[in-house]
Amino acid sequence: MQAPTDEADPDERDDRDDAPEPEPVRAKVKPKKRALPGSGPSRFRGFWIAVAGLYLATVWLDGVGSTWPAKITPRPWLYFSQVAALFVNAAPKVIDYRAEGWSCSEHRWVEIDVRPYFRIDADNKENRFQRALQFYRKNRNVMRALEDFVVKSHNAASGGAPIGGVRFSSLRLPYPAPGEHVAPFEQKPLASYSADQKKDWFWTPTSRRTQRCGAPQPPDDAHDAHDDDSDRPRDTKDNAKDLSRDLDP
Amino acid sequence: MSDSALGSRMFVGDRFFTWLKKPVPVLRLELIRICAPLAILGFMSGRIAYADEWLGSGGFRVPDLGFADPRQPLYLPGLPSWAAWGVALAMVASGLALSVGFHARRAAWIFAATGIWVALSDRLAAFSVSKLTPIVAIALALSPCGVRFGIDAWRRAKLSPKKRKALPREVVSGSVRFFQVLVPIIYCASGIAKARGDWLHQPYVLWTHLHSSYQTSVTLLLANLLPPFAWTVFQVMTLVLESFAPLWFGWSRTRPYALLAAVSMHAMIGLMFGPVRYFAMLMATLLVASHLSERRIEQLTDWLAERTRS
Repeated sequence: MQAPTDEADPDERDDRDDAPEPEPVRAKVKPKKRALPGSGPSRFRGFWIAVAGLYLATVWLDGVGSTWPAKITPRPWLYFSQVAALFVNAAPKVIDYRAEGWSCSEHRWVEIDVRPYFRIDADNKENRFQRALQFYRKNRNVMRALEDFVVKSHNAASGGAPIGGVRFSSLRLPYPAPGEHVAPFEQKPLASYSADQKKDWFWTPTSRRTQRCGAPQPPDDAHDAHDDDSDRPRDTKDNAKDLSRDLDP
Repeated sequence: MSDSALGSRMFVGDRFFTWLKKPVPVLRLELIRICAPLAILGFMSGRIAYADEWLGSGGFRVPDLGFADPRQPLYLPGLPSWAAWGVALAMVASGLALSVGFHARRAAWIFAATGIWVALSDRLAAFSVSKLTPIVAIALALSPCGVRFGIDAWRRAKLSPKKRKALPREVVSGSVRFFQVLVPIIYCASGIAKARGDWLHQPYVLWTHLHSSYQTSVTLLLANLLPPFAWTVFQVMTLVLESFAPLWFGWSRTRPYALLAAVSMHAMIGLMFGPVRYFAMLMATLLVASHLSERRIEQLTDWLAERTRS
């Protein structure tokens, strides 16, 4: 819809200025103007304008924390709209997720390097193993699938030192106060961190470790008390906040 | 009657459609068409190299959780190895074709389709760039992109010298308008979310994010060089820029400063948070293409036309 205007466009004005004495007949003939790309009619223009408006509204509403988009829009639509609102909270600690395997021969947990099985962004927290723990550490189905994948991958690659189960944990590391020296981030062996910095989220129960190792396995002292539901991820308040919404950079 | 006098007598809807149909410099569109796919492919490159792990059944896949889980909006099963590599190849080929302006609009549709698939297929490797990919690509597919500064435009000009003279300097494109609005909308929502989060009562939010595996050498240098209050100053500047972005970018007097501030912000993000650099590049592309002044865009158009002969 174009508003009427009594002003000639610049091209027309230039043509009239160039003409020394406008003849009555020529003056009536409009100079031919080439159409600009994109200016032609389109049957679906209104539809796409509506879609664009709806998308922008969803981005804004979801970003500011409204629950409306989640209630009224399809999940894929909402998913592609969640592009705003990154780093909205202070990081309480530096979080690093780790994996241990149950050594069938040594009958103990040993740290395993899962990066060869999760090669995308292997050395930072955008790695798929880190993300799986970040998103789904409370989800038993996903943790069991992850357990199966890590055990199979490790046993296929280790060549004779099989593991019968896994234990997934997070390290919650403090960072220096403002103004203090900042050291480069490094991943030290799990054993070098104190117990209060490590939190176990999922571990394979004794029964399944025994089954995989093919011989009776001693119970794990730390988790023996609740071994029946030991592969149920622990639920704590400190991860409830970041489960509410994806905040991907 | 002057434009402003006429504008004041028009309904909001008429003003909107007049704004939408007003010609814009073609370079705004072509900058996004050239640079955005490259930023996206840069981001995807680390994933594409392991396509079988990323999209195929060779890597870990989150099982089908049903619609109860908001993190899995639509379950897509892992592809056979050949298909995973096929999708990755199609994404690279269409992204490059779009960037160089070879059958640009068709390439944009393919790029959008592959973008949708990869963003939904592997939630674990999907980030904001993944989600913006189909949005940017669809907007380009619906625009007259590729009419300048690309292979198609160059071939047309080569075939007919008359057509070279007729290469457009302007286009009518709702997609450019979409990008011009999208960026301030994203900023504004982010600013409000930050204000509702920790940014108004925790003076060192930025400082708390400097210590993870996102660190770069620039992060370490600045973290050890700058006084603590500098991080609070950056935090306040970011919050003010983002929260009031529609005002800063909507008002012509503040727009150049807002553009400078926003591009600087993304440059800092890219330098200080390693894996986020491609997101910073994509946002900087959208910012510059959408909000650089007309005069600069015209100068750049002349400069490019002279060198590319298209």
